Amino acid sequence: MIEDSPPGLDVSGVSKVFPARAGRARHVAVEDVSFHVRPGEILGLLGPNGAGKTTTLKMIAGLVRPTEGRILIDGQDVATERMRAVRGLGAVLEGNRNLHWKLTARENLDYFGALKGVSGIAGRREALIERLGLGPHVRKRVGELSRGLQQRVAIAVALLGGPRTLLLDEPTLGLDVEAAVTFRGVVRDIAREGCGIVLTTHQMEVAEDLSDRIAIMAAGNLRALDGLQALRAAYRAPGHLVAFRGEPDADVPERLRVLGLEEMVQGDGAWQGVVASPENLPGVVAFLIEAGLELAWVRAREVDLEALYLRIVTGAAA
Amino acid sequence: MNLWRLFVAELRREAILLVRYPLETVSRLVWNLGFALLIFFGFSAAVGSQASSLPGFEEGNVGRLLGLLTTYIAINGLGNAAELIAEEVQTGTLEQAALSPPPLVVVVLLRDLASYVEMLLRFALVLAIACLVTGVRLHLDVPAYIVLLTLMYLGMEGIGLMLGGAGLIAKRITTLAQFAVMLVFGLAIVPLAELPAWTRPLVAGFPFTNALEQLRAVAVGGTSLGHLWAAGQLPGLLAGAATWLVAGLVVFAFAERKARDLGTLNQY
Repeated sequence: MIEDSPPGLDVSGVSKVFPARAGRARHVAVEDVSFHVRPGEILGLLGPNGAGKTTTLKMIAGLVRPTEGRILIDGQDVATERMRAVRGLGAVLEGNRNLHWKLTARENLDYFGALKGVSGIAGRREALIERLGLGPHVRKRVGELSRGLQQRVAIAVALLGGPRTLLLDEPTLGLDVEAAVTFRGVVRDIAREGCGIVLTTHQMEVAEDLSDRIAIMAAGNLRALDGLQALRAAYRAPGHLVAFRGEPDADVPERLRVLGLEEMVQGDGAWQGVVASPENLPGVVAFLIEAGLELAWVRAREVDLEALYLRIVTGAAA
Repeated sequence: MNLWRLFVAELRREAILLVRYPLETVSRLVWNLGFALLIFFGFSAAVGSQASSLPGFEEGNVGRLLGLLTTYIAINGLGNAAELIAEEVQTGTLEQAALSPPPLVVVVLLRDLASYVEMLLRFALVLAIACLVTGVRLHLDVPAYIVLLTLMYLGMEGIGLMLGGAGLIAKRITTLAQFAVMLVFGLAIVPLAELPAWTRPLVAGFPFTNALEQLRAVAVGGTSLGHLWAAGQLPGLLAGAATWLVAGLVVFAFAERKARDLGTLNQY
């Protein structure tokens, strides 16, 4: 379904150069970034601090004007048709501070509903309260709510206008484990209902768990953009993992190391090591059989998202 | 874009906060009243018979109270937009306003107008109590007061929007805002005739000065709006208010665009 839909968000060749200001040099924050997000898709936008993630989100939201490029939301250009474009957009940027803390959750929804020009606000408000589990908390001032609940209220506000695209900047930052798990469920549900989501995060497990595709930025550039499996395949470390069982003689580890089996560790009743060069694999396997050890398994070496991220960000070759 | 609905939402937000924080509401009222009485009796004691030579005070007790009320509202109109920007930037809610469909300047203007309605009611109450305490009697022409004060407020709002626009880019404009407030306060107590000649046309075009003069005419002399219109004073105030407001909207819109370029719109 995702791949057949036209993109709700289309970012094309976008750059942002902040001019030199008092005490600050000219700064290229984002350079020629392109991606799209289809309805129902979650794009995880990763990168170190200063990579240009938040600037990219702010450009999509119309808070920062791109120096070059074009951003379309539901086909409307954010630069020239901002009012129409942002009707199709919801955003929770910079955490939970963008609510009126002295008002209750329900009052915030009413207020921001009027600000966004949402018609039939009462029905929409109550539906969001129920869907996000805010029922017991709607009469409390937002400032009295936990960070997780504040985050949920912020999402409810962002969803008031029924957006087809949602931007979430560091949505799980500062949440406890339970709130983070609940929050991930909420994000998945929103996507399932057809809303395209761009989320930035420094938490690899969040990105891995939620994202249909991963985009990795560094120094203002988009370094990688693909599904997690495709990225893993592209950035897979060469070699294989080899595991065996049995009681090897004292000289076996050293002989295996000479044959090319490295980083040997013992755990869960088996020995495991890495054969980095594929040409060494037959020799290692033959030796293990000859030595009377039980070959447990041989697997292509995989790279986890964190290692993959570090390789991409530091510019190591695929 | 339903601006009336947004205005009502802003009014409702003001009302909720007034009711939810009663101590703050009452304290504000008491402070305003206390300050009014302090100025009233303080000036009476300090200036004595010379009070009659000061604008806003020259008609004695009536002028004193009215001058104070007008100064309050003018200062509020001047500072509202700038304060709102500073407050919203600190709380993070400016971001929501900036990425909502209505232009940011419209949101800021409607929010300030909602604040003006609350302030107008508060100062009507302060003025009524002050009149009771001091024995001052004003000529009661409520529509005239509302028209004149609103025109003055809109003119001051224009200047406030300019300050608010500067705040979007520069962030810290406290000194500039304080200077503007002191300017208003200065104009309330320094006679126009005593200002350097070259400043008089500029000051006469200042919405505060013009409105205060007409308010005094209504409160003291019972001059009607019709008379002020026929005399050309009211059209002058209207034109001045419109000019300042439009100029403020243009400057703010330009500053907003610049802030989106510089990336300072929602910087904390």
